[in-house]
Amino acid sequence: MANKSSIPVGILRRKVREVLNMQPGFGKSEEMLMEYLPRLAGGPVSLQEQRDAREWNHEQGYIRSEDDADTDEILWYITAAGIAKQKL
Amino acid sequence: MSATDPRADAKLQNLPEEALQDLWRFRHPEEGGEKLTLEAICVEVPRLYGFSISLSSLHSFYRWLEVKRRLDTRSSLATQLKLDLAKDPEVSEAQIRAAGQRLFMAEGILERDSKVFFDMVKIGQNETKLQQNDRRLKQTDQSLEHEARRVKLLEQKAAFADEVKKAAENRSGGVTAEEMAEIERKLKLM
Repeated sequence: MANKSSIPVGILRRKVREVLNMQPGFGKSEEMLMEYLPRLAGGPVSLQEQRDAREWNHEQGYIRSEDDADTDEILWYITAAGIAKQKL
Repeated sequence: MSATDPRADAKLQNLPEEALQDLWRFRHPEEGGEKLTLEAICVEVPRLYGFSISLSSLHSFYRWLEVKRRLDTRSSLATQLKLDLAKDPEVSEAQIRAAGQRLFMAEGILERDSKVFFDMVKIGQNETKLQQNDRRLKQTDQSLEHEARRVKLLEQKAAFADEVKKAAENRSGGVTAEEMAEIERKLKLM
C-alpha cells in the first residue's frame, strides 16, 4: 500500500488553488503544481494526491483547464469562484 | 471567528504588495540587517496590520510568500519578453502570448535570463523573415526582368523614330500618307 500523506485533503485542495492564484494570468502545468504544492503544503505530495485535490477543485468550478497547443500540455487556471473562495 | 471570516494567513496573503515586501525583509534582511524570528514577527503583525496570527499560520504564510516570489519573478521575465516582442510588428498577439507562457513555464537558465529565451524566439522569427525575404527577392528579380524588357522596347521605339526623322530630312516633300500609316502601324506594334 502506498504511503498516505500526512497532509489533510482539505489543505491540499486549498493549496492547489493557492498555487493557481499566484500570477493567475499564466497557466500552470501539472509539473509546476508538483513543484510548488509540496512547498506550500510543507511536505511531500504524491501525484495521485495532487490529481485528486485538483480534480475536486475542477468539479467545484474553482479551477479550469486549457489545452496548450504550443507545449502540448494541459494548463490550469483559477476561476473567479476559486479566487473568491481563496479570500475566505 | 465566524465561518466567513478570512483565515489569518489569508489576511496576510491579501496584504498590499509593499507589506508583503516588508514581511519578506523581516526574514531575509538586506546586507547588514537583522533577521527576525517567527516569534518576533508574530508580535509585530498585530501592531502593524491590526490582527493576530499563530506561529503555524505565519510559518505557512512564509512558505506561500517564497513560492509567490518565485512565480512573480517568472511572471516579470515573461512580461518583459512579451513587451519586447510586442515592439516587433511581425509578431502576432497569439505568438506573444504563447511565448510569454512558454517562458513562464521554462526552468533553469531561462528562468534567470529571459534574453536567452528572447533570442530563441527571435531565431524562429528570423527564419520566417528569411523565407519572406527569399520570396521578396524572387518578386524583385521578376520586376527587374520586366523593367529590362520595357527599356528595350523604348530604345527600339526611339531608334525607329530617329530612323524616320533622318529619312524625312534626306528627301524633299516630307512623308507620304502611306509612309505615315506604315510608321504608325510599326509604333503600335512596339
